Amino acid sequence: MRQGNVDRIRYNRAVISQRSIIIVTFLGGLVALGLGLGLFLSMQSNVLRISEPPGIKGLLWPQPKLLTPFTLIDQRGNRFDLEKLKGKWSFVFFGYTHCPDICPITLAVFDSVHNELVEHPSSSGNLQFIFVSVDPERDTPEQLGNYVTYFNAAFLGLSGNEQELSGLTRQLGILYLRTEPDDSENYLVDHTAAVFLIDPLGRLVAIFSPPHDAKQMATRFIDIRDFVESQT
Amino acid sequence: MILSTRFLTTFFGALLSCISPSSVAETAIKVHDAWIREGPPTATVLAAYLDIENQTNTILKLIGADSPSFERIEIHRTEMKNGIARMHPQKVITLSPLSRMVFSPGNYHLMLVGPKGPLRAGATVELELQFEDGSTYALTVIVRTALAHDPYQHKY
Repeated sequence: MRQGNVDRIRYNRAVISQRSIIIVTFLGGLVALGLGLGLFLSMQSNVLRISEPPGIKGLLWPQPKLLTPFTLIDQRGNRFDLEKLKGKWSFVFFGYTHCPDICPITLAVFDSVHNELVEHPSSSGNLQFIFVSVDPERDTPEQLGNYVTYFNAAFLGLSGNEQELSGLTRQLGILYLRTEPDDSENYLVDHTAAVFLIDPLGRLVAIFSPPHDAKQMATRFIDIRDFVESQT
Repeated sequence: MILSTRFLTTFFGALLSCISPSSVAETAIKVHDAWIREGPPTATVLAAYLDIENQTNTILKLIGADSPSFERIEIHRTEMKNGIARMHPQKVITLSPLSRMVFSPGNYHLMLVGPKGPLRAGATVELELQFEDGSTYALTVIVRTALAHDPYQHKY
């Protein structure tokens, strides 16, 4: 009985020490693998750092998208085309005025970003905030004007017919889809909720994904602008 | 899980209707932080946000809302899928026993269709929540602006 216990203890010890060796070897292997991977990644990021600053989410670099000509109209009925994007940094959002939740949220964020950047010491004032309607049937320039200027007097509201609209939406990859109208002929529009940043050369340089936060968007914009200006 | 929840709902629902039908009719809920986002003067839709607390031991089902200040109210949820914002009408909002359900910007909200007059920040609106058991809950909701400035001060 006693001998049996001793044997069992010896056996257990042997098993434990065997297991320990396996575990230690395995852990050692993991550490070595981790070190190797870390070294590899740090070398990689050193190589990438030349053209891409780390940590700016949404930045499309080194391949920003050069926009091609399009024509829309602003809330005053003036033509708004590719040339109007040149020489300014543009924040662009797509939505519609019958939108109760995400559009007013984003336009309120735009207002905060605008205020934040206008007051920023490095602000050069060459900014524009654009709301493009993806509901050409209901959003007249007048309706758009009342809508966007409520959020900020400097905001632009652009519209156009389906064909004119697609001239901009296609190249930015904007998706929008009308839902089935209800009994009172009301309908909703599903739409891309990202914010697009276009640089003064008319290049799409960044896409900000929702949910949008004003402070974060303003900070990212400054980082992106400083980086893009240092590259060109 | 869904099956068992359904079973429990049915089971407790049936149990309650047997034991004390009156307790179902008395909706013991509490609403916190209800507000309506002020919109442009020409806004055709607005959104209301609120935090509903179900203080009962039973499941409550919110099926609608009504207000004399709007043509109609729908329960919606904004869903973000692959970067696309999509509004989903909700027929029923199930409030679990002793729990809170938050309606917040970019998520669940009451879509307020057709404001019958301009609603500026500071105004209040009477609203009624309707539950499946026929009970209602009346509340007063304040209109607030999410903007740092008052857009009505200069323009309208």
